[in-house]
Amino acid sequence: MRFALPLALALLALPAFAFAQAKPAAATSNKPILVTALTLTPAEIRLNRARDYCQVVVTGKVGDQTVDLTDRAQFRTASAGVVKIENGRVTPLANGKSSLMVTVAGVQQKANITVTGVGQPDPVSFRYETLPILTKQGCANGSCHGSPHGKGGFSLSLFGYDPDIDRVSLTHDGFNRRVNVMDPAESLLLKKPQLQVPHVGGKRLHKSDFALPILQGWIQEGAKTSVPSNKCTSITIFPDSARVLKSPFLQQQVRVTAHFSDGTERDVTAISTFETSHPNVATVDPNGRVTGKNRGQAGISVRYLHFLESIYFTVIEDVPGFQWRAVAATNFIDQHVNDKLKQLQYLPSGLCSDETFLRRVSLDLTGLLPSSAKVRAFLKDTDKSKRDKLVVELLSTEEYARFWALKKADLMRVSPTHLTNGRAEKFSKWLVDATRSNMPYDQFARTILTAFGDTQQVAPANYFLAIPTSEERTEMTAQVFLGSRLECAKCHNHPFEAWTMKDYYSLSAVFARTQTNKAGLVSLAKTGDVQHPTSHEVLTAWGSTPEQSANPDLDRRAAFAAWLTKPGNPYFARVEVNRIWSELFGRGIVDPVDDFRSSNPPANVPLLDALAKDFEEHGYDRKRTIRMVCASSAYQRTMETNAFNANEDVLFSHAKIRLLTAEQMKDAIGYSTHSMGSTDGLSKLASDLSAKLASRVSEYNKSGGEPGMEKFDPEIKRLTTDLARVENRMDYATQRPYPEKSVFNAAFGQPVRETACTCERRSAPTLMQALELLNGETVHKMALSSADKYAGLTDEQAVEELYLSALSRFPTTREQSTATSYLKKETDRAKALADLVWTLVNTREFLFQH
Amino acid sequence: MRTRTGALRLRWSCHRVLKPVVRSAGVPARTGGTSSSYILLLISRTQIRKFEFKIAPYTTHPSPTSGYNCNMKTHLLSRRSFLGIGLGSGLAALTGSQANAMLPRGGRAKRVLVIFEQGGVSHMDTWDPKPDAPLEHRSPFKPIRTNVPGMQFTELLTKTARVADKLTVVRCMTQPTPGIGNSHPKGSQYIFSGEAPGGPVDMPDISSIVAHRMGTDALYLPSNVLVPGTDEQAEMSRVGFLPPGYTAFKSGGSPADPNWKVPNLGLLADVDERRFKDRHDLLSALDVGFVNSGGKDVEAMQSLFAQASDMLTNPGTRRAFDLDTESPAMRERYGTGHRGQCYLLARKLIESGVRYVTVDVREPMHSYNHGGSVTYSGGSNMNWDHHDAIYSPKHTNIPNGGAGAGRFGIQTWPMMGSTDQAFSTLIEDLDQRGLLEDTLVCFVTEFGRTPKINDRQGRDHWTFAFSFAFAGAGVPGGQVVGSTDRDGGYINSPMAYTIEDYAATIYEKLGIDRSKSLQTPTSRPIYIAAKGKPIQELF
Repeated sequence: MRFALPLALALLALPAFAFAQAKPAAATSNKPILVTALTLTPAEIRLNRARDYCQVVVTGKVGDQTVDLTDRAQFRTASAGVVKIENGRVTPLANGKSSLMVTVAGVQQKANITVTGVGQPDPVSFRYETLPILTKQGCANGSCHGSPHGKGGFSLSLFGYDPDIDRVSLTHDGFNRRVNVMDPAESLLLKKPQLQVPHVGGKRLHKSDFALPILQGWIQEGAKTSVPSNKCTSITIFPDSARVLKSPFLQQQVRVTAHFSDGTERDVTAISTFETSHPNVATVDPNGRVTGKNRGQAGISVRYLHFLESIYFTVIEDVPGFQWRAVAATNFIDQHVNDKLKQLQYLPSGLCSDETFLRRVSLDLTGLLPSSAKVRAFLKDTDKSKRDKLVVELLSTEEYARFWALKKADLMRVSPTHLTNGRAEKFSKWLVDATRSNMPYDQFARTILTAFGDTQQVAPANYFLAIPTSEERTEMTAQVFLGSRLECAKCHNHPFEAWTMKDYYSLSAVFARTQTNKAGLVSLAKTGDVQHPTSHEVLTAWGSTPEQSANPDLDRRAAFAAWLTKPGNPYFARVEVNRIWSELFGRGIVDPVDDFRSSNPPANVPLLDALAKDFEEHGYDRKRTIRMVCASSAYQRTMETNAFNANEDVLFSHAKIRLLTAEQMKDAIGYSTHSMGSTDGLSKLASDLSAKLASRVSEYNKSGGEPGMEKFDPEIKRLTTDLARVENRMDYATQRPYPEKSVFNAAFGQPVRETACTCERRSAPTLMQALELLNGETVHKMALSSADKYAGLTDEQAVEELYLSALSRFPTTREQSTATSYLKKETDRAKALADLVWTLVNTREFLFQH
Repeated sequence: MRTRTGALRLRWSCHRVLKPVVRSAGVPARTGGTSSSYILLLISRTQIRKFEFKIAPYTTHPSPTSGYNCNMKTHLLSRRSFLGIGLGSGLAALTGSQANAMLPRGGRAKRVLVIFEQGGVSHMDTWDPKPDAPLEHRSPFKPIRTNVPGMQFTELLTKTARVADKLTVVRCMTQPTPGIGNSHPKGSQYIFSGEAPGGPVDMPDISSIVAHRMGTDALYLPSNVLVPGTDEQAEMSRVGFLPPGYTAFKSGGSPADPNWKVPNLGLLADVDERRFKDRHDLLSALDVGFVNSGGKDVEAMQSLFAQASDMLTNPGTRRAFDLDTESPAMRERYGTGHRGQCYLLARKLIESGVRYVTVDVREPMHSYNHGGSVTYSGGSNMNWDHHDAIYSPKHTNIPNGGAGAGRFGIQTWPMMGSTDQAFSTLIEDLDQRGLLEDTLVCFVTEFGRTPKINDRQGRDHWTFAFSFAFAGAGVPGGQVVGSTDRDGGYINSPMAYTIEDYAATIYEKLGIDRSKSLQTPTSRPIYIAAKGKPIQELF
């Protein structure tokens, strides 16, 4: 470590250094470069209105890299006076034709220009210009006037989702001082953001801003808010695919085009809003110019009206001394992970030891620690494929089925609070059965989403019983199966995504006819529609055609489920493989796992696509995906980092250390203290109890007990309860059908199953956890009870057994001697053993999965 | 708004600023069904604004007063907008920063002690005497003088009357949207969080937000404590989207019980300090994996272990909770029952540096007094929810009774008797210790009770007007803010304050910047007390 530290420091300083070097290179744009192909976007320039403009993007090939050359290009027009060109933006001066000549490094390209409409009126559009500008200047942000209560008495709809609110707010409220048609310059809309009068939100509009004349013009023309007949149908972005930025080509001009229902299109680059997901990697200016800053990946999202699109950028820097060392690739997963690491110049860590692998994969697949016997056997095994065999073995266990069903049950609110009279157990059992039999995931989704009937008989129908309103069903279904947080779109268009209120209520319409009653019956009604809350349009259910949606005899859910599970669905397979990935790596490729949106880019796009494709092509086989991931080198890496991946934590170049979950923690303490028996003994325990119960029942009948009243016999009652407890594995937090409410579980962030958000599970360390571990009754009692279990062993044996049980490894010589001498020193051996157990479960190595 | 001889009288409690400019009111009301109506407001010489109302029979509560519920259909003018006019055109362009400058700058409080008397304390029987109410609905408890000339409480607050010079009583508290916080769970959540329940995101408790924003001065104690947290509505306390570490720590049990101890904050019975130290030594010797690697969670856990160990072994922790360190005379002064000892424990915690203490006491039926047990026969749920027999000398279990069974009459010891004793002592004691200087004390309840006595001799929920009391941290003493009409039903003062205003007051007193938002895990910005404005008179 002594030598590693300065090296790590040097690396920390590296990105800034590299950037400092890159900058002058970018500035000296006349340094000779060899451009092999030059294209202009758009290839032909048509300006049809007096205030039209066109952002030209110049793209070329340098070597094998496609690069943006807009800032290096020289622009000329064939005839003067038709257009003006500034930073690649062409604006009209007079009607006529001309052509644009662009030269970069001696290579030339030409585009025809046609200008019409100059001299004709071109009024500012409230919807298509004024509102996007209010968003762009930040006025309609969630933290400013777009917040639910507005700011300073002035309230706008968030990012202009409701033009009507904005119309009233701008032209009627505030005593008409916000826009002053008689004296536009006196309008608060202009004075406040320019700080001509004080403005809490600071300066938001500058003299040089493109937006200023448009706003002025809009007011001058009478602040008209009429609804245009022409609808904006989509936006397109150039560049339309991911780009790599590498010094000296660290810039990229973005161009945004809006398409309208009458077939026209308009350049809206200057009034679109740009945001970056990772400002330290790439920034973007208000004109849509992206600049790479440091090594990494960033998404640039572009918003115009309610449209939101993102483009992904990878910024590459050469890391001095970096040399890619081929790492064994087990399957396509490793190829994609390694490609990305190689591209960004991170060196993956090596493979972990057998001990670590056994502990890691056992906790991941079953939630439980391996027994000491299992550790011994696995370490002794010399089979080269023992790791793969272990994964297969673990996937066939009951523990796997229960632990992985628990993850789904967490999201689907399986708790006796929502599902009473044994329904929680039944739904949970169904989920366990489906996991055990490895039900194809498309079938799993369809079965749940189209279930109806008596929830005591049809277990999956409990999905609907647990969430009785169609709004909640919308949010839950979106979160579970689309990996998207739609709840924002209930009241306004999603702030970071293209989800609109219309999407929300169309999905709501899917569930509008699914009814539940007090008797727990889920049934389908013939009527029931959902209106858009602001436009009052009756919405077609998602996945249905308007005819299907209107047909009272069709189950709208079936159409939705068919859409969802059709191969090629952009969400379904990706969301599920990403969840699996996240369970195994402690971080999703898209993270958080239920926040899929274009502005939250995947860490590795080809990897996610490949996993999803494989999942689709192999019958949505979850066990297959788990098996492949566990077999990959990516999964089997150590947590130790090297000089070339120390600060990397999203591309899976090393294992991520995670605090055990509440359930894992509880059972791990139980297992390593031996206060909980292994699940191996459960089937025998259950059959013993059943036998006892059967014999007691026959005894009861023989002794003339009243038929049908057995359940009131105290002994039968007790045995029945005990049997249910064993069968439902109620003593195992990782295996129970629903969570146990306890101080310990709450402290460790176990979700209470109130929402479908994985964020309900908390994983950050807290003071309450420290108190529970150091001084809690749960840990203390389990530690005390362990003394008996170790009593028959010698000190050395006890220490070894304890290390194998708690840490899945043998103690080192030093640990063995420290621990043994503690045991020998103390007169009360039971107490000393309890102390030692307490100590081991409080080590970081125990508390964290690594 | 209520019916009187067939006309609607408009009340301005929540929309107070409009009152001076009403030119036309008094709209005929129908006795059933829903009807739309409007009033005209003359805003200036040139502007007349029409406000539409929907008038529907008031159904949210079976109140003895037939009420009407009004929903303003058009948007209301904000206070800012009004000021613009009220002050004339020259000041019309009143700006945000100027408006902010007009707000009181608080920051005098370092700690907050909230006494949450849950169930809905009858305001006209306590802080807001109504001697002129119609006899059949009048409180039997006479107004008395306090030590401040002109300031009156009822005789149920005889002892508190002696510390009135330290108190501001706000008689114009109201819930702005009737119905939202009219149930006890919702009302309690409203009090805990300072925001009307039912929004898109559950607001965390004020106490959790304060702990999150300000941290603590006493690392060995939790920063946010609920004493004792055994009230049935303590469940409504929530940390919401904040990290779980800011959850209110519930002290549990009854500090009046001689065997009471705080769970998890003292070492376990069979782990004495020596053994705890031995274990720690062993842990430092064996916790050798992960050295220099592991990342921030591992490091965080390490420092939390250190803090937890300090909490467990620091003598200050135990002292803060140990009522035996108080003299018998002091314990006596607070009242030796459950309530008194809870208030005393709250004072001890405040004195030890806990940032935010909430007392949510409810005297249990089987309780303690002078270290011995005592049973309040029939008092199975002794909160302030006096639907039945509010003036019973004992329990309120009456034949054909309603939702008010299991309480004790308001004047009895487990109710106002112990409250008067404990609260007056608390104020006096905090003052004598110099703690009142920078501790904000708030005496709050979810809502008040109906001005009319129902046919079960009880009073039902009343969200239109109720009283809070405040002391300390610069709150002026001997002050009454706002007033209600003759029988205490409606606010008739120009000012009225909401629970949101109460929350804003606490944040402002602590100097917490409300313009800085919190963030939910889904990155939604959440502004605290966004709808509230600090109660000016408390600054």
